[in-house]
Parts: sequence; structure tokens; C-alpha cells
Amino acid sequence: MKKISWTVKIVMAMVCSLVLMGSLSIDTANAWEPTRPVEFIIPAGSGGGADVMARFIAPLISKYKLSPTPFIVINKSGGAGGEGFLYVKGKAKDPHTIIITLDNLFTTPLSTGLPFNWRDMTPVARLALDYFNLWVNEESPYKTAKEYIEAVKKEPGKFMMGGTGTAQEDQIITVQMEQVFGVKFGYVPFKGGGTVAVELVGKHISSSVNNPAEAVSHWKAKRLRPLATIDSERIKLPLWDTIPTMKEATGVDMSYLMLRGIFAAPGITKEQQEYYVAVMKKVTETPEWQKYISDMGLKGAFSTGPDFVKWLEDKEKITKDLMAKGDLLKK
Amino acid sequence: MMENLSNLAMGLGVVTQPYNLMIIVVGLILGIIVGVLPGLGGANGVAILIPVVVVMEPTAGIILLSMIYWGALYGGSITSILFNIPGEPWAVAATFDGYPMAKGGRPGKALVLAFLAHGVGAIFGVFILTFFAPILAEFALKFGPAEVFAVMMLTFSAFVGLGGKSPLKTVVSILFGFILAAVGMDIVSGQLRMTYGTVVLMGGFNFVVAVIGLFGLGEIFLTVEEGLKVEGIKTRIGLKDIWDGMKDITHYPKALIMGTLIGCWMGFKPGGATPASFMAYGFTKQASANADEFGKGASAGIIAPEAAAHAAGTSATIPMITLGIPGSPTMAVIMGGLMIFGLQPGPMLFKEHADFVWGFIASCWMGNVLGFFVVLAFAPIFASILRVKFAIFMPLIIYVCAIGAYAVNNRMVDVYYMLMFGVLGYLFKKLDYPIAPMVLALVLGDMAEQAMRQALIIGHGSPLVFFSLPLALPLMAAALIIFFWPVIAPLKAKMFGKKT
Amino acid sequence: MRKADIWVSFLFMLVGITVVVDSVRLGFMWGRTGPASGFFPFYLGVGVIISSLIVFYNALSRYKKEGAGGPLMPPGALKSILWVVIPSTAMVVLTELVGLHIAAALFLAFYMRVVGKIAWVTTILVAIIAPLSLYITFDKLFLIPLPAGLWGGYLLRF
Repeated sequence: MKKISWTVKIVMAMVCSLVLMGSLSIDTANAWEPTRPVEFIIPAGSGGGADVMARFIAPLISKYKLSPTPFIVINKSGGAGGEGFLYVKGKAKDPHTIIITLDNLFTTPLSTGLPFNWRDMTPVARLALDYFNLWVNEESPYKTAKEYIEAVKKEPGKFMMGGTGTAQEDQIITVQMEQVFGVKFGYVPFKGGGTVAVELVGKHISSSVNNPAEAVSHWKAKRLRPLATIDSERIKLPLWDTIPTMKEATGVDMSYLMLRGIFAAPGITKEQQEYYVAVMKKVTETPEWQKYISDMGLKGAFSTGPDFVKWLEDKEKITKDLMAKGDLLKK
Repeated sequence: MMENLSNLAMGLGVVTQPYNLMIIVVGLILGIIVGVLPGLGGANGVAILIPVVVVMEPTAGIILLSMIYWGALYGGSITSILFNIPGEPWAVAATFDGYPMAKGGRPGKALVLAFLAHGVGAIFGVFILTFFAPILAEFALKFGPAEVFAVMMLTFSAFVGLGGKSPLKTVVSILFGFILAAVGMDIVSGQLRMTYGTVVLMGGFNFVVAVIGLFGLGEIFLTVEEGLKVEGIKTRIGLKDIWDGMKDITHYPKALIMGTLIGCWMGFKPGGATPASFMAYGFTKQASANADEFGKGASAGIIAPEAAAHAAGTSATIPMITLGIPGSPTMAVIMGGLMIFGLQPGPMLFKEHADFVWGFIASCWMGNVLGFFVVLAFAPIFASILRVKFAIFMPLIIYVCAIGAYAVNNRMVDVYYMLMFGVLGYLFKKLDYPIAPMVLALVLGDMAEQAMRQALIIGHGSPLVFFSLPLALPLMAAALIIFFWPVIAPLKAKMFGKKT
Repeated sequence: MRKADIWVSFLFMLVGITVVVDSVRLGFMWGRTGPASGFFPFYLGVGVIISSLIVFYNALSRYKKEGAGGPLMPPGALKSILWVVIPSTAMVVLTELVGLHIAAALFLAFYMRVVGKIAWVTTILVAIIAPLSLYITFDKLFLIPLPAGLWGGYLLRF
């Protein structure tokens, strides 16, 4: 394979680009490939965002023949996902275990004190980022984020923010808003984002910071109203680009995006890591994936290698900082 | 109404295409298998098939998923009745009378009763889904945390009369169930409770694992106690069983109606099938003239919880389709399936994808009607297992239980828990600690505590939220009246005695 | 029988005490927005301690007055039960080494042959066919990997 002529190189490049368009898989002779079924861990319960995504990715991998063995999806949701993380941490040097993560990668160990950190696993890739919006009930008198924030300012603690779990992303965003705007919310934790949206439709809470996918259908049915996108840029998808950013709506910039990424077991070889990076890259290049992220209102933001690690470090710092301010760290 | 009918006819046209009919039958059979194997259950079964379904055409895919759901609902009670092992949480109440009846030599009749009650409950549920889904969705929105808590109280009140001989032991049993439910992550505070720094306790105690041990293994220990040469029950399912079952179901219209209505209500909000089946059993027993027969193989004790469980299973699709919240774990997975197809469950689904929704509703009709016949065809096969020699059948059951306990959460520690719960179940039986209240506390404990604390946060710490109008107050009042009925009833009799 | 009653109620008391201890760590007071994390467990624990204490006392006083009462199990039952409990526990422990299916095959064979006195042919047939079909159903068709133990992965390679 060492003396490859020019034409062969061109042909190979063409083949490779075809592959990248999602039609074939490459079988490079010396690269590592799984020899057993791959355990694809979900540190969350069935039916949630991470679960849906993992169960969406697994069949794509079989469909495009990206792996000779199947990816078997397994939920390990105990202790806000801590069970799943500790499981992967304990699988050191086992290349047949990967895990899909959301922000509980940072929040769970910080709030529960579990002996775990993302550095205990091998980072593979960031697949996408999930947006958050500020939502109120359609019948509420507040038409803009500015009006709502001012009302909250007047009566500290009266307005109820609903969110998923405690000391997780929704509450951290709530803390961030309290910091940025100098207001005080009451925070009510629920089990899942879908429930939060429905509680808001039923007017049992005053606002929520649901992901787009969780609330879109209630928005279209004119039951919920988005006041702002919690990011520095608008969501670049039809319909969603009509929602102003926090800065446009209130004059103060504020951003929070949630990780949708993949990690592998600690201590695997470079080749094994590269294999999973390549698989995940191909997954994000399929037309199915493109449709999926636009249906779900996700931000396609594939990232890997040192960029990804840098991003993780920054994100961890910000999360820890906000959790400290909100008194959410394990004492 | 007419519009719904024509839509339904259109949907039926879709599902009766040969290819879709085939999917319905295959899905039902798969579902029954999934429901029969303890631990595999509806949610797991559906999740496993998501990868298969993704490559299918959306309508066919969702028909397959929902058929597995219906099949699992039918199949879940088979093991409850025949082996005292509930494959699903909502099938626990079916063991109370189903197993005694089967043990008493009428497994065929018990199964037929359960299937018939399922069928009636489900078809009423689908009827509601077809014509009243949007109205019910509006009603469901009125249930906030305070109302959910009131409903939980109502469920517990239904169980007051179900204690054992010693009230104190009943109290211990309930409290112990609540304690087990509290182990693990407390979602309201985000803290780990009673895990003592261990990883194994972090996931808490799973209800299905506890139930497999307490009921399944506990029962095996009780059986071997009588000696090892126990032969299987010599029985066949004949036409007579079907006939007897049909006759009995018309004899207990009250149990059937009560079960169906409780199920339909609890299915769409807020409790789901498990509390529905317990509540239906409790209320039917309390309202029954011969409550003493309950627990010994009473027909009404099978009909009510089964009708409720299946009616709730059906109406659990209402909040998923109309609001985008899953009424049960299985529904959560099916909803994930919908989202993979790019179908966003929620209020817009009816408007944007009407053809799909009506195809789904039509498949619910077909699935539940056909499901009855498919499961009936399977019943003799399962009942014939009872004829196998005990020394062969018993270790097989333990093996299957171990698989079930493991598969719930993919954790080995659950298999050890199952053994422990088996011994505990045996001791409970021997020492007159009732198991049912503990199981109820374990399954509802989390939900009740969360609802209560959420309501209190919303109410700024004031317990008055539980007595707010229009829903919480009457529910809470009803719960309190039923709870204190044993005290109120004699008082009332006294007062009337004085007046007359 | 009463002895067992005493012991079980004593065990419940211990459970209650451990629960109360952890609840105190978590905080068992009524906070600003309702009860703290340990509020319910605290009262659950206290409740268990009190009620099992009464059960304990009743059983103890009756034990003193009327003696041990009937046995917990009919004669010979303990042996039969242990013949189930010990092999099945052994199966679970073996699972950690050879995986669930192989452990179950051994358990099935042992119980059927040694305890149940089933004919050799039936024993061997059931002990092979049952685990094999469940292995294929779960691990191969439904893609639910059941525990393979330390060596199971090498023993079952197909």
C-alpha cells in the first residue's frame, strides 16, 4: 500500500468522498473495528432527548454499515445518569462501550459528589448543541422578555419557573437569568421536559426554559409563546428565526447551549478513538441526521479532537461557576 | 362526530391493507411474547424494535409499535394469573384473585375473564380516544401537582380495606414500601438519598424487580414448603372456560364499569395504568357485598383491575397524541419513535398529520379486537406449562425471573435484590405482613412525594394548595372521606339511629 | 413462629434507624418551600421504628406468656426451601463468572436431576434447549445482552 500511484489516489479520494456522502463505508485494512456488539449507554431514562437520539443513531450505523457489529442501546439512568457514567468509567480499556451525554456530564458529579469527571472518559465528539427558549403561556400578559423580566423583578419569588430536575441545565439557566437580570424565580423541578411544557400550558407554572422540540407543538397550537432564544444568535431554522435572542429582547446578552455528545471508555487506543470519531462524523453527514436536527431544532455543531476538549473545559468552568452562584454544588 | 367517523373509516381502510394486517398480527404476537417474559415488558420491547421500525414507512412503523404495546398489555397478565409473577406493574392487581383462581383449578376461566375485561376496557378506551380526545386533553391540563397528589391520596384510600389481620403490620408494610421508593435520586432536591455512598443503591429499588421477588419467588417458596413432589395443575382450556368467563363478566357489570371508568380517567392523567388497576380493585372490593371472597379467586377481583389496566393503557395514548406527554414509560418510547419519523406529538399532530393519527387510532381498534383472539389462541399453550412437572417447571421459572430482573435495568445487583425480595415475600406471607400495600407504596411513593413537594413549592410552602378549587378540593375530600370511612360509617349509623 | 416475628420486627427497627440517620444528614425539617429531602424518609423511619417496636413488644410478651407458638414452617419445609434458595443463589453467584445462561443450565440440570429425580434424558434436553433458546431470543434477536460474567463471553461465541 506504500507506493500508490497518482491516479489511484484520485480514485480513492473520489471513493472516499462518495463514502462521506453517506453511501458506502470504507474498510481500511489496518484500522480498528469493533469485534463484539458495542454497548451504547444512555445516562437517562427511556423517552427523553438523549434516549431518542441514541436510538436514532444506532440504526443509522447499521443502515450505512458503519460497523460490522450492532450498537446495542442500554439505559442506565440511576442517580441522574451517574450510574451510566460510573459504568463507562469502570470499563477502562474496553473499546466496545460508548456513551451519549448531555449536560448531566457536568452537573451530576457536581451536585451529587459522585466520584466522576468527564476526563475519566475518552471524548469522541460533540454531535450537536441543544437550544433553550424562554416560554410563557399564550394567555399571559407578557408579550416580550423585557416585560416579563420586569414583572419578575417587581415581585421576587412569586413567578414559578418550571424545569427538568434539580441542579441540572434548566435550573442552571434559571440561576443564570437571576444573575444576569437581578431577579428571583421560584423553581419547580419536574421529571421531564414534556411534562414541564404541559404544566405551563395548564398554567400551573409561570414560565419555562424548554428546548425547542419539547414546546414546538404547543407553540404552533397557540398555547405557549416563546419570548426569547437563550443564545447570542437566532436559531437558523424556518419559523424559529422569528424568535429574538435574549440580547434583542432585553438588551442583555445571555447564552446557554446543551451538549449532545459521545464519549468512549477510558484508556482506549488512539485508533479505537479515531474509529468512533469517524463513525460519528459519518452519522452527522447522513441526510437522516440533517432532517433530525432540523426537526428537533438542534444546532448542528460537530466538533472533535482538541477543539472539543477545549470546549468541554470551558463549559465545565461555566457550569461550575453558575452552580456555585446558585448554591447547587454538593456541600 | 360524523367527521371523526369518516376519518376513522379512512384509517380503517389503511390498516386493513394486507401488508398492515400482517404487521398487526406479527406485532401482537411479538407483544404477547414481550409481555409474558417478565422484565422485558412493553417499554423495553418497544425500545428494542425502534431500530427496526425506523427503516419502515411511518404508518406501518407506528402500527407495529402500538401492536407490541397492546400485545404486551394482554400478555402481561398471563404470567400474573398462571404463575403469580406480574410481568408488568399494572398486572400486579391481577395476581390478587387471578392466581388463586388459577391455583384453584380454573386457570382457563381466569385467563378468559382477564382477556374479556381487557377487551372491554380497551375498546371503551379507544372509543373515548376516537371521539373525545381533544376534550379530555383540556381536562388533563387542569391537573397540576396538587391535583396529582390528591389523586394519589384517593388511590391510597382505596386500599384502606385491603390490610391484613394486624393493622400495625399493615402500617409497617406501607412505610417500608415508601422507604424503598425513596432510595436513590430525589429529583426535587437533586440529592442522593439513603445510598450510603454506594453505587448499587443509586438506582433505587425497581418496582418490577421487587414484585418478581415478592410475588414470584415468594410463591415458589410457599409451594415447595408443602414438599417437592408437587405436580402441575391438571387442566386444559376448553370452550367451557370461555363460556364461563363470558357468563361471569355479565354477572359483574359493576366491577367492569368501575374498572373501565377508573382506567380511562387515570390513563390520560395523571397516574397511568398501575394506580388505576389498584384503585379499581380497592374500590370494587369495598363496594362489593361479599368482600370476603376477594383474594380467594373472586371473578370481580379479576375483572375490575384488568379492565382498568387496559382502559388506562388505551387512554394513555390520549395525552401522548394530544399533548405530547407520555402517559406511561412505554408511551414515552413510542413517542420517541414518532419523533424519529419527524412527527412531533402534541396538539398539532391531529392537524398536520391527520392521516397518520387516524391510521393510528384505527390500528388501536383493530389491535385490541384482534388482540383478544390472538391471545386467546395462545392461552392454552401457556396454561399447558402448568401441567409440566414442578421440578422442571420451577427452576425454569427462577431462571426466567432472573432474566427479567436483570433486563429491567441491565444491572446484576437487581438479580440479588430479587432473591432477597423472594425471601422477604415468604416471611411476609408467613408472618401476616400484607404485601399489597407495600407494593402500592413502592410504586406510587415517588410520584406522590414529588407531586406534594412540587405543589408546595408552587404554593410557597402553604398546604392550602391541596384544597384549591375546582379539582384538588373535591378529590382530596373524597380521599379523606373514604380513608376515614371505617370511622364515619358507624357514626352515620348512630346519627340516623337517633333521628328515627 | 413468634421467634421469627420478633426477629423480623427487630430487623424493621434497624431499617428504620438507618433511614432516620440518613434523613437527619439530608435535613428533615420543613424548609422555606416545603419539606426538605429527608423530611418524608425521617417520618417514615420514625413510623417504622414505632410500629415495629409495638409489634416487637407484643410478640415478645406473648412469647413469654405462651411460649414459641407453632413453628414458622411445617416440619421438613426448611430443607425443601433451602434446596431451592441455595442452588438459585449459587446460580446467581456463578453468573458473575460464566454468565447467566451457562449458570442457569447448570442450575437446571442440578435441580432437575438431584432434587427432582427427573430422568437423565429429560434433564439434559431441558438444560440445553431452554438456555439456548433464551440466549438466542434475548442476546441475538432482541439484542439485550444478558450478563456474560467473566468468562461467558469466551464460552458462548456464536
